[in-house]
Amino acid sequence: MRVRNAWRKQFSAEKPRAPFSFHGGLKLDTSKRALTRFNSTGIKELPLPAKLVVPLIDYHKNNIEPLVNIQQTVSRGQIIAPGIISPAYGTVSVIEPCEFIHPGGLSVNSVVIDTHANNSENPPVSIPSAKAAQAMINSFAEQPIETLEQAALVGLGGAGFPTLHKIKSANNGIHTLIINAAECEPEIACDEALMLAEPEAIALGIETLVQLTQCQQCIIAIEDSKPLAQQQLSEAINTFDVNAAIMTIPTRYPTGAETTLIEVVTGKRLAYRNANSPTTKSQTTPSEHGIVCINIGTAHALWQMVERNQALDSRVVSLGGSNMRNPCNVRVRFGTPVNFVLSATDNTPDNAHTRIRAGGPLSGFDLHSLNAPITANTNCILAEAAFIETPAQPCIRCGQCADVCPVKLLPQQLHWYAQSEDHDKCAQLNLAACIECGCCDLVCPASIKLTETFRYAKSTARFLSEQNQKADEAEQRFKNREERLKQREADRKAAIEKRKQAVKSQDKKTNTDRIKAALERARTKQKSSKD
Amino acid sequence: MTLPALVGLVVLLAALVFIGAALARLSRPINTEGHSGDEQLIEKVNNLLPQTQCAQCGHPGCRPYAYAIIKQREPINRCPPGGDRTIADLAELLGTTALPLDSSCGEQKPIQVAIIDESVCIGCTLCIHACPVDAIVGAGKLMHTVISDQCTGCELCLPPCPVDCIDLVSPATSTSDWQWPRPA
Repeated sequence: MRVRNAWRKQFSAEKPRAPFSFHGGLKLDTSKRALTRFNSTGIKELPLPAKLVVPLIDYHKNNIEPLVNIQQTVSRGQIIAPGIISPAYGTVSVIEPCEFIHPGGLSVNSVVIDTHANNSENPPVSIPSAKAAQAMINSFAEQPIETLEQAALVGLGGAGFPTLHKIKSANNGIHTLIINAAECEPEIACDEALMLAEPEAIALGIETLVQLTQCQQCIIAIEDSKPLAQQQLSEAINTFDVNAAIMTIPTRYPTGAETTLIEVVTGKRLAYRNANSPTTKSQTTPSEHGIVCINIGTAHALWQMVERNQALDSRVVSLGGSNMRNPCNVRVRFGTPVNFVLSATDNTPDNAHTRIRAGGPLSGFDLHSLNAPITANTNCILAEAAFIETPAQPCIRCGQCADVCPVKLLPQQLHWYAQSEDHDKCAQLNLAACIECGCCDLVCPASIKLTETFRYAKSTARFLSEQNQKADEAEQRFKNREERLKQREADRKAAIEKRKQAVKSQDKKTNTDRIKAALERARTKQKSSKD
Repeated sequence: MTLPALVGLVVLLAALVFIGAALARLSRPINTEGHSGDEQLIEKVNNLLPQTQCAQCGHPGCRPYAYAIIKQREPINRCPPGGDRTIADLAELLGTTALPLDSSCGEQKPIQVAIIDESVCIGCTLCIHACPVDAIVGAGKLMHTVISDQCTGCELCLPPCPVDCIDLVSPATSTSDWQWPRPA
């Protein structure tokens, strides 16, 4: 701590550096911003539902095997599958495929937990004195970083990448830690609400992250549309002497996306994966460049781990949208079904035309079932009016889509190739780098569904490459089998030949001798048994 | 003729001979690792085939069919699992016209995998011997099962089964191979 203080003084003495700009992006109407529409700025605590559904799926959408059995009692925070913890005290009633929040409405193997009545409530986060807090953080940072595994910490920004993995994958050390408090999508306000409600816990969580990552600098990026939240947080940072600087960034969608935020804060444009370029074979992750981006909600969750050893089992969810009667921010335990969240806040949709969406207005998708449970990735639930589809018209080649693309792609050409299923060409034009922000859709005067087409092309390209890999494996197994059969046949022939040779080579005389000896043995045996 | 003109002519001729030789060398198929041009072509054709090893083309696997296409001028439209896409790719590679799928070989079907009704299976091992890609596990008089991840849906296990306990089903969509729907 003392070593770092010298640096901190030097750093804070400097004027806060101005943010860099990025290509494209859009200034969206934030007048409808959820918080301004919300009846109260606080965070509502939701009661615990009778049933929690925990999907057994990891970041890469692979199924995970459970470590618990049916009828087993689980405690809150107990590991029920690698990387997944039980969000409450209860009994596992069943492990079966259940719907989860997925654009295709798929089901995935899930642990269903019947919660017990005497579950402990979430006590309010206690804020110790600055000195006590430092002592706690120091002792926590001395533990091996693997203790974070118990916290089941994942990014709360929307993608849900495991935080421990993020920190560990920075092999060459971390020089810049970026705390993402941008929250650029309108309607989403969970991070802002958290900053207003518990800025001290966030500040202490950030200090813990600084100690854990041993980073050279830590920058908290907040959009200039949230002056109150920024003020609260900066007060908390001063109170606890946190080694971090706040950077006010312009409100421009999509600054909150990881790649864009890194560009805004550091001025560095990370190379994107290009399948056809031999030089950049694998996707460069920010960690490889010594940069780690962590959401502000994750920092808050880390402080809960430090303070009371509580794993990440709940998050703040924004309820918004034009058809949401009581827009608010609620703290929801993971595994709570969406319909429970809506009914507990008196937001149950009153007509069948209301669309319930998960995620923000631009990046989100319609939910197929309201039984799907809230997970760490669910930052927002929206209730929107029925969608009136504008039919797409032919492209007029205005080029606005390329102007707004934050990753400098050519959406117009990509759309052409994606529609004609030319996946090689799409890869050449770097479709994999598309962050699906939806800016091109918003500006397209012909109402072409660009993002939808890109999502389709990306998933199809992935599917085809998987099929190719499977075909290669099948071919290898076929080859192995052919060789095995050939070898077996050769062995069989060799064995027959050997036996023939053996019979031939044996002397006839020795053979008759052998028969005599065998008869003799049999006779003596008969005799002895008669006696 | 003056000397400079003669020198110029000689230089020009030398350059032409050199370029001609270089082009002649480049136009030959490149032989690497002892592969002849044909073998490389067979490899390329084989890479375009779907590797189901279903033998519907009349050859005992995808590589033998690739061999037949190159060496025996077998038509390129005899692969039902590959369908029109594979035919188009093959036509592009070989510089021929894409033909419609030969219906005598079979029809293109959606991706399927075999599944064994384990309550009926008598453990005869006949399907294990029939599977070209080693995707069935089991032992004599013990239950057999299909490793659905490795099954290519070739249907070769269906005819030998004495109790008819093998079915072909469309594989369950998992979250990892789910695709966004194509926009209208």
